Amino acid sequence: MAKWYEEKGEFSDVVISSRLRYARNLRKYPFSIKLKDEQAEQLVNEVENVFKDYQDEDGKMMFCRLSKLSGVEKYALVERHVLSPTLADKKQEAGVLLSPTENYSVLINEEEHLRIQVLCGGMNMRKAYEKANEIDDFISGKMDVAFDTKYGYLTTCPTNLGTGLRASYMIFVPALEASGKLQTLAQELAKYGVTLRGTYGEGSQPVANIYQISNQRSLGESEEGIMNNINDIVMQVVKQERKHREYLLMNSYDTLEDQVYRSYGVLKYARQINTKDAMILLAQIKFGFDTGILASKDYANMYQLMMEIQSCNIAEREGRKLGTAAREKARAAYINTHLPELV
Amino acid sequence: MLCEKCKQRKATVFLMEYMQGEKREQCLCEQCAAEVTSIEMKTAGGVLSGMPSNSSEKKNQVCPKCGLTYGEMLSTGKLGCAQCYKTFHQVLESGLPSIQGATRHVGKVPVGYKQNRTTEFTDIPMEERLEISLQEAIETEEFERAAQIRDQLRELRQQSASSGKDA
Ligand SMILES: [Zn+2]
Ligand SMILES: [Zn+2]
Repeated sequence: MAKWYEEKGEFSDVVISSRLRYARNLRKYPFSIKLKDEQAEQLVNEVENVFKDYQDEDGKMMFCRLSKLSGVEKYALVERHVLSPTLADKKQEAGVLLSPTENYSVLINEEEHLRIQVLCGGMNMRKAYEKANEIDDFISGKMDVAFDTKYGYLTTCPTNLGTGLRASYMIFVPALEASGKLQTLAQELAKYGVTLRGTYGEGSQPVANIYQISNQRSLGESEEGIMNNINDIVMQVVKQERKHREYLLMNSYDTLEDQVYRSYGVLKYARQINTKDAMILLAQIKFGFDTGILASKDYANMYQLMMEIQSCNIAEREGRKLGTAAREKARAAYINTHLPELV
Repeated sequence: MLCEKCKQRKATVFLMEYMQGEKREQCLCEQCAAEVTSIEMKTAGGVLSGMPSNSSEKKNQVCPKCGLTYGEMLSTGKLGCAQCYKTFHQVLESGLPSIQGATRHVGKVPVGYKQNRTTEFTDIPMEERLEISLQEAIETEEFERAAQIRDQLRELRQQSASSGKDA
């Protein structure tokens, strides 16, 4: 089975990935804020044992005790969207069950006891939903999940209560961002209970035009309802982004073409580069492929490259600790050889 | 920073509320926060004015299972165990509409789930259940229904008062 970032899903010119998460807790343990160290240990062991019986067409899930991973290994997983920063920084014992493809995983003892998460390439929340349900049903068949007829799945954070469902799309919206309409869009979306925030970059300064769009509310609406709502909204965003791209291409094709080729040239021959600059240039090249300014023989998987050049992924591949300068050289060299060949 | 209400104790609680669609933010001490939230609950719509207040009782609440206190819950915005949802359900009933826009789950139920466990909402004493329904009725502005529930509550309380303590 392909990894989520290797599959070219639907609407992949705008939608990079679909991710669905379920928050679940076990009735017998206190929730994370009241969980004692020895109970955390028990929780991790119990879930590990239960999942020894789990197998699907991809094989068994790999179990990892977070205390056994180095900081670099943990953050490399954060960069590949497997671990959350909360879990990577957790002081108590915690764990992760990971499918061979890294497409789905179960985080143990994060903010909630269990976080089931499934990633799919492009716009394909339905597929993520089906897989998440299968894992969820496996769990509730084996363990007593904290649930209440009125409140639904009980959670540490009331913001996860009810379905415990968080559906997020990662979207690439360079044209909307260039038009300066993203702020207004975010406000508009908030009215529909949907949040929009930058994926890369610090605070209010997102880089690479990549955003995450997710449902805010998890209670009072069914899983299907939540998904339909956010699907409709993402489809609107896709339409708008495409319209703005068309407009840009019609009015300033030559400038854009020049910019995209320059970015390609810089990355093809740069000798050292930091993450931010690399991300900005890769985003421009991605825009080039998505709009047909650039063409490659095989599917140009720019997002995979974007993940692979994050600092901890480089360190993990190099198998050693790198200083800033050495890392920037390694990053440049990796991009030089991994940029899709143009035709 | 000092509490905005009593201006004496240290503010430890950041309270964000939505009242009639308007957002209000306050920095309060634990005691004042406990008062404000229960007052807000009780004065909504004025229908509850005839009801005996037990707000001091509420703010001394502690979850019997995990030990989470009312103050801790307000300051962290988090719950400590499944039982907490029963212990603090009144606060949740008033807080959930602004966080979630709803107070009742619609959707999936765990595989093989059996209803009427000890922690179920349906096991909550009649009096508390009526209080919650009353709250809901006020929030949805069904004042006629609210008045009916209020009468039921009064009746129930009179009964339990005349039949001695702890009916
Ligand atoms: Zn005060
Ligand atoms: Zn509790």
